Amino acid sequence: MINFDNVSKKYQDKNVSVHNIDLTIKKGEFITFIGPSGAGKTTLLKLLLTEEKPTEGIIHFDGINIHNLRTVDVPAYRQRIGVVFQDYKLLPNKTTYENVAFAMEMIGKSDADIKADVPHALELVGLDEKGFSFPDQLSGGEQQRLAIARAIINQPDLLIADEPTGSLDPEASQRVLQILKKINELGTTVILATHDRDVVDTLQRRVVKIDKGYITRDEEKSLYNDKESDNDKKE
Amino acid sequence: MSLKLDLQRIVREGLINFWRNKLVSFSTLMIVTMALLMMSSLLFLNAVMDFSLKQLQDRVDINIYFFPDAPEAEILGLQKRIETIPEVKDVDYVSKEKAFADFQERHKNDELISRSLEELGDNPLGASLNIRAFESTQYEAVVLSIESEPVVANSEFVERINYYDNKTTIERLNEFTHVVRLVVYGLIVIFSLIALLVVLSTMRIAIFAARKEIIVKRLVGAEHRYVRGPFIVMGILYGAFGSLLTIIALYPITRWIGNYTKTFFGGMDVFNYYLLNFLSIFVIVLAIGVIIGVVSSRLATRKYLKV
Repeated sequence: MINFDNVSKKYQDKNVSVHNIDLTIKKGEFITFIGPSGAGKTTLLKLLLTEEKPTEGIIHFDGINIHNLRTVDVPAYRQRIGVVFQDYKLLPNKTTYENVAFAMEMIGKSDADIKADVPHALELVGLDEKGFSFPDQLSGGEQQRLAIARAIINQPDLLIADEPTGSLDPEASQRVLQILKKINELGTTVILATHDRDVVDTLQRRVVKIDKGYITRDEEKSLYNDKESDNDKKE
Repeated sequence: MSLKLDLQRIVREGLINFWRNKLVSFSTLMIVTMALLMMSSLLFLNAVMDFSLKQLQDRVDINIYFFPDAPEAEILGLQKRIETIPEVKDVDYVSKEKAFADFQERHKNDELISRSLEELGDNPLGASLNIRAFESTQYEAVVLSIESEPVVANSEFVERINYYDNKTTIERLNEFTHVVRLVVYGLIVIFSLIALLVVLSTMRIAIFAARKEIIVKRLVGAEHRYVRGPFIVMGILYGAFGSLLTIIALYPITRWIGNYTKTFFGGMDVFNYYLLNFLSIFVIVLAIGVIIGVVSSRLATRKYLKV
């Protein structure tokens, strides 16, 4: 479904964010990007969302080079992706309800569908009583859950979640993981970027470790720490 | 997505944003209103200038003076022919009797003249034709046409045509009119541009405040029209409400200024002009307001749509 072919991204200040990334993600897969802050996880996600252009290499999505898309075709591509941004990126002038409804309006859903689906999505993330609140009236955790509701409402082909449990307590984090697992079971490919060890260890899915812009590990059904480093610790 | 639903959502969002961003909407609306007031005052300036120049030009005329013994039938015949010249607005015939009566009336307090007239016993004045053209620049052509008339060219009836006495004055007036028009049109263009730039900058600031929203919308897959549309709706609202406020504000302003223009500019009352042309002024101001609103919101959003 997604193929990174020797992708590098250098910034104008000569700071290289990711180097020679070769990565294939299959349809329906649940993949976890791990690594310390500044390792390049978010850059990879930005490249995938066409928010940034690679300096070298190509990214294919269902066989299409996404950075060759015409400007008019970019929205249709992005509508196939649900994103939980690290900084939430909520619409400040819209209520909780309207933020979720906006994603549905974008793909041309009818008002009746929106009325039926949005309350369910808000209930799923525990915001059913905050429908009329504006983002600045919500706590950090509530904003994060709202971002999740917006990302999953259209049952996208791909769900990108950048540190979706960053502001949540352990109980709420588990709830978010359950939602991500559920949506993955329904056929959505999920890319989760996190440096939360508990999250990765609970999931035990494919783990791609990124360090200083390089992929240093790519293992199926893995934990936060690889077997070798675990063995080292035991010794 | 159906076009109707699309449009409905864009308009709804524009209206909601206009209402929710009260402070930004209010300040933008005030700036748009000020700009429209400035532009409409230029409309009034143009009208006052036209009126005043017209008044000035209407005071210019040319006269053909006939000898006292010129037959009236010849003069009336000539009057008919002059009236057919396209540039001629009207021709007044002043008979020798009327000329004499007017002269007497003018000099009734001058004993010397009164006594001289009594001694003469007869009317020494001739008849005259008083000719006015539509524009002061047309007198040259009118005089040429008149001079080609056989009655004028080969006749002993015509004493003189006063165009040549007034030629320099008429030419100066034409030059003055031309310069005044140029200056006023220049002012209109300059101040319209200033008003346009002020509105554009204000809209840029208003949209700069919403740049994050635009970027987020783009990132979650909103199409250009969906991102830009609500801002254009807001631009239309600024223009429409701005023109409404302008037309309301013009009522007391023109009423007050009208008192002064009545005495200064040859009798033109701008308040009366406002009342008589209310609908056309409103339509012009509304059209300018809406066009400025749409153009400036389009320009101001362009930068952020590249994401």
